[in-house]
Amino acid sequence: MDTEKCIACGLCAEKCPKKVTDLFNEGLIKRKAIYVPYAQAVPLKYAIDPESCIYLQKGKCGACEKLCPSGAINFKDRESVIEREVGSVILAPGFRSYDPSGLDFYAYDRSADVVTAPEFERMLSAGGPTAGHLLKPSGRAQGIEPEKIAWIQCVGSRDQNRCGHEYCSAVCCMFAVKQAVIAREHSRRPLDCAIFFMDLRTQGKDFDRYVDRAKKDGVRFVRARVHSIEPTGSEDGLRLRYALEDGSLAEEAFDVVVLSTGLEIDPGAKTLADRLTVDLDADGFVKASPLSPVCTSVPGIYACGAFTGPKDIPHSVMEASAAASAATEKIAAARHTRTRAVQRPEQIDVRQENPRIGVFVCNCGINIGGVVRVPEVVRFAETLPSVVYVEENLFTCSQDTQDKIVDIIREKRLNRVVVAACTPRTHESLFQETMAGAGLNKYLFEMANIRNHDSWVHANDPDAATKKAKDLVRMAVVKAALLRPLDEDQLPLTRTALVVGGGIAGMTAALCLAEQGYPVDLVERSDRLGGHGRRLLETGAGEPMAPFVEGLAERVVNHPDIRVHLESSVTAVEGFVGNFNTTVTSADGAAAIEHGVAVLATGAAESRPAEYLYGEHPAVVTSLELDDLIAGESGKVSAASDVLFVQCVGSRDDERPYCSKVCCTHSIQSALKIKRRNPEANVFVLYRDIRTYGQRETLYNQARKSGVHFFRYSLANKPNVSANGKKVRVEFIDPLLDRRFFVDADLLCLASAIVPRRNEELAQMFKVPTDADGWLLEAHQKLRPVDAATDGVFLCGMAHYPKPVDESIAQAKAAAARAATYLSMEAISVGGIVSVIDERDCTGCGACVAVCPYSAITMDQSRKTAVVNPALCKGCGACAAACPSETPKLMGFTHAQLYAQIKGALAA
Amino acid sequence: MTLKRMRFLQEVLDFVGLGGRLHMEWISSAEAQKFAQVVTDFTEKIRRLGPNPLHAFIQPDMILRPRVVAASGLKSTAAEKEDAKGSLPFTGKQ
Amino acid sequence: MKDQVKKWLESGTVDIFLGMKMVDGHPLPHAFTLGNISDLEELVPGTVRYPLETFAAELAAENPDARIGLAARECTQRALNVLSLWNQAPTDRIETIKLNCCPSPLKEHAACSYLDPPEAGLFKKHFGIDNAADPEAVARFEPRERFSRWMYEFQKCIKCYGCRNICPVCFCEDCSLEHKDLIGTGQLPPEAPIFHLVRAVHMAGRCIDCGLCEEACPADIPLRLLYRKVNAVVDDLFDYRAGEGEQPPPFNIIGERPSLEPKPMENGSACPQR
Repeated sequence: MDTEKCIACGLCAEKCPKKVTDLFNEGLIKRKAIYVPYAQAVPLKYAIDPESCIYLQKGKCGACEKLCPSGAINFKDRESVIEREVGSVILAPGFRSYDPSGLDFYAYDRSADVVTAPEFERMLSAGGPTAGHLLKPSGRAQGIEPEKIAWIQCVGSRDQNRCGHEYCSAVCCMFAVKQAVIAREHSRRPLDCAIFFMDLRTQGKDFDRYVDRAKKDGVRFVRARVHSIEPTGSEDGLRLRYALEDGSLAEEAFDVVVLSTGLEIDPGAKTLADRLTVDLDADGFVKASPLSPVCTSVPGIYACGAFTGPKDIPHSVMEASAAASAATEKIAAARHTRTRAVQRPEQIDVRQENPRIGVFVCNCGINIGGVVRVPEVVRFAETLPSVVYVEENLFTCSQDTQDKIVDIIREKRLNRVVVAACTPRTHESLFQETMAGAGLNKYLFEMANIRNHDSWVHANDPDAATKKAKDLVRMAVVKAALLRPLDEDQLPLTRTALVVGGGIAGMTAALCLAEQGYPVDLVERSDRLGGHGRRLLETGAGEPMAPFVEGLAERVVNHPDIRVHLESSVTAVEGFVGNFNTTVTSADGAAAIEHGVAVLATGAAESRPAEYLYGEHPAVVTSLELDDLIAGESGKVSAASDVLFVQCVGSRDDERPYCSKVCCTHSIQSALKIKRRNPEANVFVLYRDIRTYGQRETLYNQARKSGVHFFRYSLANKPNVSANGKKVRVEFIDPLLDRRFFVDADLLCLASAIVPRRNEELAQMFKVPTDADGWLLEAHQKLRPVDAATDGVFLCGMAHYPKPVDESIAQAKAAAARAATYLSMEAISVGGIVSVIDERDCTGCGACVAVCPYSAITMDQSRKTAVVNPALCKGCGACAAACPSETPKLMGFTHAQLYAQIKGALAA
Repeated sequence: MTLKRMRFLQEVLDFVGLGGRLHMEWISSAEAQKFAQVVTDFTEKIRRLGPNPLHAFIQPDMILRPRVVAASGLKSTAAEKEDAKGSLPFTGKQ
Repeated sequence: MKDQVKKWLESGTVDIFLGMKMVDGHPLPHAFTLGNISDLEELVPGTVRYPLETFAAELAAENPDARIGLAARECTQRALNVLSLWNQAPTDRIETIKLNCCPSPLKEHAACSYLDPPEAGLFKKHFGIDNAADPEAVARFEPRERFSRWMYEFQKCIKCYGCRNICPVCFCEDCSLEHKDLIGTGQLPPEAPIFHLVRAVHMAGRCIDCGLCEEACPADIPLRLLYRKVNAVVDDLFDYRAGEGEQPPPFNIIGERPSLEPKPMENGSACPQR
């Protein structure tokens, strides 16, 4: 398949005689041997599945080759080996979903109504086999809808006996809740959704809020490990048997059961790692230190995503940027050494000319021409005002047509071009390039989509389709007549960075940027670098923190490209991406720093608990205070015979509905340390859900094996603490035995919540909003996890949300990588499709300032007029819509142009 | 916000008797079927509503219209609502 | 009031005082200054209505140091609030002498002409909309009839722009009512109902219900009624009342601000189809 030639018309798939199971839709439906893997595929091109293709297997057929209107199929094509010299390699092979076929007690093989989570995902998808219509798999043909659905968590995770995966897959709790919520939305009648879980691990940002909402909406959460699923073969569907926490047995019937199957590494990925001699751990994940999260055992080879451990989308995207940072640091000197500039003729000034429009109408093989009567559209276009040339093409996008368009633009002195073909999403840039090649401003171009919007949707009605094609062409032509050439200016930028916060995240970001070759100013409020990292004892994998933090601080201080400002803070910020001017104030006075980008890594703080006798009784300490005691070899620890941990102190309650994410692991590590020092000590952990997500689960298992006692409590039944001499008495209810217990503890460690610094001033100066809990808000939780909504500002570390050291480091590297995308530019291209405000018409009412999501508009109070900064404007048009008198003009989409289009649409 | 703004416009249009002709729906790029369904449903709905009554007004002889009013006579719409409906001066070509 | 103004001007509390002056038996807007302080004798303190705040805003913009005094009826005060929110009136430089004229629990009989509109004639009552009706009553007509009645009112418009010109909260340089693609100028009758609907939408969250537009309208179109409905919808949807408080108008924010839950979309129609 020649992807250059394929126009994704779909004729090949329509005629392909071979049907195969569609793996993207989890085998729920069939597809053809020539196919587009999924509707959103980029590029949108067809591919041949060689295992199923009749021609490739038996040498006969070739129907697609004969039919393809653009000659994109070439069966003589052979596999070729491509060699590339690269400086770094990034491995991102992902994961596969655990296959529950072997687990007979879940009846996955026996019942169609037991499905895996990815299968259910397809069932919910609007683009899936049932078009998002929720149907019982066994009753799909009859259109039977389920009334009760159960989710079973930890299938293929946290289970050493049957599937051999000790680790927690980290993402399943959240996706099960999401699926339950969406299933209820999709169902036309009340749907009973129940999630059977052991610990609810929704530790991510805003996840617990989502769970609370699901609970409020009626999703049931049942704390039970389901023993078996039995197909009854009757109306009853599937019978689930499970034991409740109090030991009683329960049975319940469901129509559909979703197995929340975990993540595991594909054997293919393991083979790849073997070939590259990259070490994998026992679980099959890349062996990586939490202190260098995207590095592998082979220098120069990096890894990210689920290959380095189970993780969700935000974390994966973040790690991807981190890997990009790591992969480019060592080879930064090679940047831009192989780039070449495109040669273009000088632009012709057409502003004084009357519009001379050329219209090119595409047949797209028979894709358009088979439905729309293209010659009729051509004759119609000739009658439209300002049109001086019309041409019909078999393929307007083919290279020879591009050359021809350039010739015609010159010959006919065209100054506007309309292409009536397919979608601008895929083809606009191609035609704009052609325009530029002919010396025309690329914004003098307009497209009419007579394929996707017309011939494809009205394939059975050529008359209507032809009529609509004319309307679409008329709309494009009347708009084209009003198009103006738009300029793009090159704005110089300061290629340096400012990093705020000298903790692990801030130092890491600063080092990464400096290694990339960009000077960095690092601002730290306290008198030394290191932040909270200095108080932590070790990473989740047991590596000591102190030498790492010390080493990091030393590298930062000694790096020639990093200037460290201790005991300093940011007091004013002016400017915008590429051209920030920030005032940093210290005891010595204020200094102005010019920088192109900023990374905010201001960290978080441990809260001071207001309960459980904290601050009143010497036996009561916080997690970090216990770390200090342990590090100081305090007798308080070694002499303690009873130590008790209380989790979620100040987290996951009404005041702070979020999870502090690190405390479960932290307490368990501390518990293990105490056990190691004094195996005779009794160690208790009172928890709500143990959230040792991912491979941290090993620590939880170790702790239980070494005799740490775990008791669950609920928010309604919090433990009660009272003083008892030098000890404190902790009373609690064990839900398993349903009895009240007490422990007289020598040491009570409170896993107190991590709280944001509430650094609103700084956030406001950089125009970074905070969320309801006070964490800095990213531009998009999944897709832009380290970008702030303000261009050129990035965030990382605990300022964004509580997180363990490895995630902070990865996020810091990611922020550096994202920042480097600006710093590596020669200049920032501004202009083009941006808003322009004519100050003569502006009354200075400020409506546009308030609606601009990019803070690109400011009010010039002296002239009482709004001013757009084209470097920040994204061309969204919110200002143009908000202004009561249409003063902001969105270039390329002005009101006049849009009204002309509307009139054009209605002119028939 | 968009929802509220559209809702606002719906209510204003409804108040002057042009209700039901504005619709908003969130459809993702992955929901082709939903898009088709929404467009089809709305088209059907508009068809049922009949031609836009405004069409009757967008005519060059608008200035002459008061004569039509006079011709239709004065009838109490409150008392003879059903009857009056047929002779309302500005119902357009329905 | 005259004494108060005199004191203000003499003490420099204000440089200019805007009020109504009796000229040949007609009350006309007038700028009282220290220079023409004798004019104060002719100051009309009564119930005359005119959007002096529009002048105040203009004067303040032209004279960045001037302090301006104003005889402010209650609608004037609301208008000043709106103008201040839209960055059109520097309220820190505007002093007002407040006149209580709107009806209140203490004072049922308001001193305002618009509360007492002329009675609608028979024809208007049958085929148009009674200016004295309330929005709910109008909403009770069937959609077709409602449309017909509104169109009767709108087509009477002679496009004098009086409603806009008198409006205390209209301030745009470039008015949509003269938009060549939407309305155009000099054409009669105006593009019913676009002309009036565009104005109605622009009044959302802005109209302070002074009723001057309706008083100014030579065609007796129930404009106040229309804008009252528009503002009732804004109140209902956005929990926002124009002229009260210091919240930015709801159309000037993007994203969600905690307020009333939106009503669900009635399957695409806000219109209860009977």
